[in-house]
Amino acid sequence: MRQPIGSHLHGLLDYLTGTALIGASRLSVLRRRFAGRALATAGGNHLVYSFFTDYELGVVKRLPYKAHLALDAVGALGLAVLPWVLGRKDPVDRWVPAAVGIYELSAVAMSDPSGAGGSIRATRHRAVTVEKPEGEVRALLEDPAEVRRFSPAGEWTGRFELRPAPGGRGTEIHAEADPADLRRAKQLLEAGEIVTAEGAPAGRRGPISAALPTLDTGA
Amino acid sequence: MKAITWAGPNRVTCEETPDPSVTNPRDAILKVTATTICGSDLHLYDGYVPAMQRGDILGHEFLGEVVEAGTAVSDKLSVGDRVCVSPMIACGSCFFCQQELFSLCDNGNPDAALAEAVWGQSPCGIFGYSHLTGGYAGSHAEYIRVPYADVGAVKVPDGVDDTQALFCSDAFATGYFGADMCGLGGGEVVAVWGAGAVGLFAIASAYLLGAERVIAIDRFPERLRLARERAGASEVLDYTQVDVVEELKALTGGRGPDSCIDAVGMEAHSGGLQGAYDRVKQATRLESERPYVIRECIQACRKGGTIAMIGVYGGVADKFPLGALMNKALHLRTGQVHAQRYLPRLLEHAERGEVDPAFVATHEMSLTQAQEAYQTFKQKTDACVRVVFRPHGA
Repeated sequence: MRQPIGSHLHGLLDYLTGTALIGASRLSVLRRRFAGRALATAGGNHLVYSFFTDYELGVVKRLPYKAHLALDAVGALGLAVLPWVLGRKDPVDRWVPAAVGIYELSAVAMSDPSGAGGSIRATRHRAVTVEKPEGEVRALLEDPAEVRRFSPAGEWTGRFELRPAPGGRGTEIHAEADPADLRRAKQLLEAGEIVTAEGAPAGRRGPISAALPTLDTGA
Repeated sequence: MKAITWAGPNRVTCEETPDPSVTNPRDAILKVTATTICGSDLHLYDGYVPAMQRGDILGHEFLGEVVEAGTAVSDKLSVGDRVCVSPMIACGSCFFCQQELFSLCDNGNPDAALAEAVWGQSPCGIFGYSHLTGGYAGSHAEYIRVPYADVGAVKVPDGVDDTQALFCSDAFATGYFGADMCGLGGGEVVAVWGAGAVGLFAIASAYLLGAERVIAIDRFPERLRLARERAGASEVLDYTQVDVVEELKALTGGRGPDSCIDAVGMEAHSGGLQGAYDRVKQATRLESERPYVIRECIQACRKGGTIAMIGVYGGVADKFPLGALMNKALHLRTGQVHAQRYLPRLLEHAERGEVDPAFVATHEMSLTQAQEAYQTFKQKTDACVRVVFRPHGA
């Protein structure tokens, strides 16, 4: 079964966690001690490499998502074991970074490396109906060149079932698939192209638009 | 190119943006020759639609000249063609398009997942109308990319001028759609809430489709005058002066209008406790609509009558009178306009001189006057009904 955290949700957690760790490091109980410095460093690192990650909420998309997860894992492990390696005896210095490290390791473990994730999709279409006869639908779904067009992330398993839609209204495609792939396949079949607004001209975006577009309301 | 972009609630700006380009074979690039601010743009301008981003180019009602046609549409559109474009981006071949329900197209919205999360299913894409409907760049710009141009762009006959054709694109089409949804067979009384451009065209269209009397409801004297003198309303009501439901009963022999058209939508104005209640709840985001007009339509409509909702709503409303809707056996018909269905016949009406859609154009401004244009339209100052931009001059 696919892990429940997709790249979009992971990105949100990154920015929230990074900000929260820096904020927490300023608390009086942690300030000017090892635990505070560790949390601030971890939070800052998170924000920086999230900014450069090639996922929905990345701004300068240079770092592959899988490499991002690897950095998460290494950082989390470091945070968890560093107090012991450095011989810190104070319970706060020892257990606060460890707890954060364990939390981060859990987030990595629950994150799907493909970025798709299992729980963050707004609506998961398991089926779509297309206004085309079964033969035409099958031909497209089994054509490797077309599959690359409608499933650019390569998640299409190739396993699907076709059923006639009620009333002779086309063909139903049933598949365990990314709903976006099914939508694109339908667009190719019915419209002959994949609809897109990518590259649409726009004016100056707000400072947070690339990372959190839905919050960029200009307010 | 120059374009008007959204800069946050109640702020727009004119700025330089990249030019659009052909992305898909069925695209066309148009030089925008005329475009207008629609009442529904105000919902975006006011910040009531959550899926706007700073920098989004606004506008969806427009006319243009083809400057480039994609490979799949070059047999239907040629460089230099003067075309009127549907705001609705629809493929023309899915189940819904085949039934001429173009605004429900399955293949027009590239951000369908977002709309599905909010509304269950996604409508078509719409130009310049937030990321809920695709995040497409809008028409308040010098150039625009038109996807599925073979379906959405209709050539304008020589006998129809730019301003007339401009309003066929949306305001006339939406008004006509509202009247069409009333299922008029001849002799009906229709009440139309809102005498903005869409409402005015709903009045004119109701007569084209057979209504005997049309009653217009608004509060601005100049709009009520246009309703009577240009659209042909038989009676007009100033809702700040009369109890609309009671007055409609009196005007219809106690029966109520056969059909009611809501050409106002989510930002209806109302005084009294009900108005204050909706304003407070909308301002605090506890409801997204001020549904005063649709409540009044339900209350006023005759038993078994039809309500056509063409004013735009986006979210949830309080105090919706389901009891009256159900017990009066009303028909509630709704939707964004299936403009592709109506464009050719509306252009014919204009060409034959049966309706002159240009009468709603009260102001002309340049793209650089973006903020002034939106404020003038929003505040209805200087008797503004519609502002027209001609990005390349008259």
